[in-house]
Amino acid sequence: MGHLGELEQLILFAVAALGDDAYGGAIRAHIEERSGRVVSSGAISTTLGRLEERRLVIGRVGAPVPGRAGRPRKYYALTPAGARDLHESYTAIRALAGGLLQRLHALAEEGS
Amino acid sequence: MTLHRSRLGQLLAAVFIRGSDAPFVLRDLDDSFSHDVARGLAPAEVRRRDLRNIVASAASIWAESLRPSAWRPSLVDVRLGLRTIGRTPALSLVAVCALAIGIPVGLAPMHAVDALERPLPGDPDGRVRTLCYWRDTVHEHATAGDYSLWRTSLRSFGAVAAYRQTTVNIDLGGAGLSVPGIETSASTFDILRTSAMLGRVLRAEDETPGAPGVVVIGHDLWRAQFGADPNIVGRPLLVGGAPFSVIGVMPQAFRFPSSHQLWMPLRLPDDGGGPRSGASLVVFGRLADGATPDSAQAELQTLTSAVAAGNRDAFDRLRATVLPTWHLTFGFPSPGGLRALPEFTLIQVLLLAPLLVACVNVGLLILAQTSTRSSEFAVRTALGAGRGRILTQVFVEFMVVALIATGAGLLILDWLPARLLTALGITLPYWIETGLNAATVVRALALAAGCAVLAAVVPAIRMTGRSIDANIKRTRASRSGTRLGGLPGALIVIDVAVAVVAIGVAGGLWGKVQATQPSESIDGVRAEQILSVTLEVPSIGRQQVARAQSAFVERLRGEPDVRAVTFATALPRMDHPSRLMDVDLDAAVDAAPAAGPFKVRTARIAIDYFDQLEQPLVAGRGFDSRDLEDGAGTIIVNTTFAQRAFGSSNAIGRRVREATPDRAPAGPWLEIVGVVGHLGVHALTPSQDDGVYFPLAEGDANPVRLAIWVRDDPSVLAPRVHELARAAAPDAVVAMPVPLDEMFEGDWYLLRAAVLGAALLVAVLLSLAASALYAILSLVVSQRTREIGIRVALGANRWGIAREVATRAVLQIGVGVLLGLPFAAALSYEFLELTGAGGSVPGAVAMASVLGVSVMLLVSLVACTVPTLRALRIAPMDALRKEG
Repeated sequence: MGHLGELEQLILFAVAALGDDAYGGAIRAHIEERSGRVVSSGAISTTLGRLEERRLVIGRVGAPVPGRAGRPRKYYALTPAGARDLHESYTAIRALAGGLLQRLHALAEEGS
Repeated sequence: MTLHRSRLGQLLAAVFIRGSDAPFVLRDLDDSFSHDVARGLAPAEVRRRDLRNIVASAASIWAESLRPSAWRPSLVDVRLGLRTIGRTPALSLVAVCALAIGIPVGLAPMHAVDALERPLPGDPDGRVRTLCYWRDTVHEHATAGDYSLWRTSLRSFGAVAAYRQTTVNIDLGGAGLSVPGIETSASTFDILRTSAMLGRVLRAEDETPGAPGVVVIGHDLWRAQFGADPNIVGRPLLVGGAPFSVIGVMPQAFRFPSSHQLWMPLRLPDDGGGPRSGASLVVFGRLADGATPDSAQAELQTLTSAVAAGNRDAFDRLRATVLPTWHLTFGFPSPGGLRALPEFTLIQVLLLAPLLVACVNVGLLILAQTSTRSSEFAVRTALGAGRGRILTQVFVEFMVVALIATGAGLLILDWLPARLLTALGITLPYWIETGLNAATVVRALALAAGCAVLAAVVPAIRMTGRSIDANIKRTRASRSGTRLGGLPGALIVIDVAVAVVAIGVAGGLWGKVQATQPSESIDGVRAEQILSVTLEVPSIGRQQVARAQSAFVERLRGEPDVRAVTFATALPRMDHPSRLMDVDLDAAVDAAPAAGPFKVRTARIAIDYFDQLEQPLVAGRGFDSRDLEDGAGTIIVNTTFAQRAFGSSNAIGRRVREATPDRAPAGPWLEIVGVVGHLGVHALTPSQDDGVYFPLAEGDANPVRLAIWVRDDPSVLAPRVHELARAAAPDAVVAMPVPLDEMFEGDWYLLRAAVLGAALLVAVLLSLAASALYAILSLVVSQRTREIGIRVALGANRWGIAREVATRAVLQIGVGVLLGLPFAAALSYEFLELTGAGGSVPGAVAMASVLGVSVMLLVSLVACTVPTLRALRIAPMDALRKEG
């Protein structure tokens, strides 16, 4: 299993959630809506580029859209390797976090 | 109402979002902006979020392009590199040749210093150190008294040894042979951790005065003169006329301290007479366990301070130092060695300059070639290759070329020095290895990588700096490739400037050769009729030395062919050692024309020196026996010094003294009693430089140089001087009997070889510069075919266009020349100063510069003219159709 960083996990989850409609702008909006994290379009693009190099996602260039200077979108899809790495990565985190969430919440409440 | 992105946002996105993925990121930015608008955020908030997104995106993209893994080369790049070499053999050949010359030349100074400044064999950690003194910047050997004190007092050294060099005559059944050797303490062999191949090395009891004379001989001497006799040990041998017996033969690799073949015991009085007294010796030792060079230095300093307190005069400005062993052999002018000298830095910079020129020129050629590959880069970018990927490919492509060149360069560096030294008859100390070492190879690889970055990656960065669509559009707009902008212009200017500097330096060197042509009229001394010999008497007693010198001179004067004989520490045309001299201004009637201290070249001469050489004094008197009395303090100066220090006023009776660079006194006042013409006080510039002569009595210097004025051919007398020397004193050694003019020519030929090498280098660089200039200018002009076609179609004057193109090239050359000339003049002057000439040779520099500039102008005019004429010949419609 390759190591996945936090941003990589967020992006892979977004790609998985968005299905055929996973392009940079949509991924950014999805992450912000679901996690509250604001990630720049450049960071999403470079992270996706790296994930593509590792063959965890696969990209395809969409058709140019009139009115946007003819710029195309690039759509991404999760590969089987990407799905496996994401699953293993999330399972590891969940195993570590098991039973700790309530305690963490209580600690955070004490501090505030 | 539709909300639009702010102008600042548009500008920032256009300027900073670059690279192969730029179109997709720009699209994502648009989408995010639209999404925020659709969410119903306030317009100000939408624009603020958009700006933040743009700035953060640009930062992410730039950070990504710097990520090391983006530059990771692969085997594919190497294959592409080899394929590119095959596609552009001419360019690759030029690049390989240029770098194969430039890299070894650039590496040579550090390689030489590495070879010279290395520990002795058997001492890889540098635990053997030499102990010596420095007075200001002058190295001074220790004495027998110092050796005695250090040997018994210093705890930082496990053992201390001393030696003095000598050349002795050994008797080989009637025939004599001069052999270089040392008288050395027995501890030398222990410190160097070496033993004899046959027999034994010296022991402490051999040093006792009165003990039987024993000698250890070298492997080469044993083979050449004793037929590798296995029973040599115990064999009697006459050394300097005295009976010795051979006790051992050293291994072939041992020639300590330099190229010596004979080791005799050093026999000294018990205490050496106290610090700073007794015979001059070279002292060295092995650091004790736990001691470091620093701790040894501190202990030596403490000891010296304690001793100096009771003897301030002898220790005035004297600094005792613990230094690496390469100071044993070389009289480096700095305790830090060669690499600490500013002159070394200058030479290093000068010799790296050709490599820089080569890189700039190869870079220009690659730029010209790369620009024709812009469509290839655009297609690769469109297929998903990032900028880092393309730059990696270009880097690896050129590294293949650079590594081939580096391999060739390293082979040259490994092979050439030893051959060159052999050809010049120079024997290096036994511990020096001129072959390649790891440091040189590492430096060569670093230089190759630097060359690849400078010559290939920089042009490629220029070519790949645009976004994919810009590259594709430009590729569509012009088939001849991407426009080159101002970069070639700047490179052409630098190129011409550096070429002018190189030409200037070569011109300066050539001028120097012209100025130092051997000529009998330079100094008024008939050098071709004078036989120069060195006489050394291996004895420490002044009276014994005086007797031997006197007897030898008398015997020479008795020879029928000898017209005159005299002696000195340095003869005309030889290098005289330099000192700083200050003038007594208080006693001056008028102020000196120039402020001191003056760098003068000095020699100690026999009192009949000028009479014997038939050199009449210009003013005052020559030396006589009064000048040899203690405290006489008289000197004779040459006219150059008299003119510089005293101008037109009379120098006789004026006083000078040795001084430090800040004019502090470093010796007593000396009175000028005579002024003599130029006799030549420097090997390369016999007619220049200030000369000061001190009187020398027989026995006061050992060795001395004798000038034997022969009526006929002096080389005929050369074999006889050995017999005469042995007849005068059996242990006296005569070395280097050569006519004075031939001794001078050795240095002159060396200089001429250097000039030839420099000229060759400049010629290669010039042709490289010219070819690069041609390639780049013709490319720039050919890219304007479409523009020229349109202008001609609109009725522009064809010759006006041609003139305009040529003017631009001439201007670029002109700026390069203007930038280069001052550096050429300054560098050639510095270089000439460095070689001891003093003064530049402006005529030769100017001539060389004019020649170089003419070549550059001619090349650039041809480079502009050919493509311009081609463009002008094309019919306007054809030009538009062709490029459209």
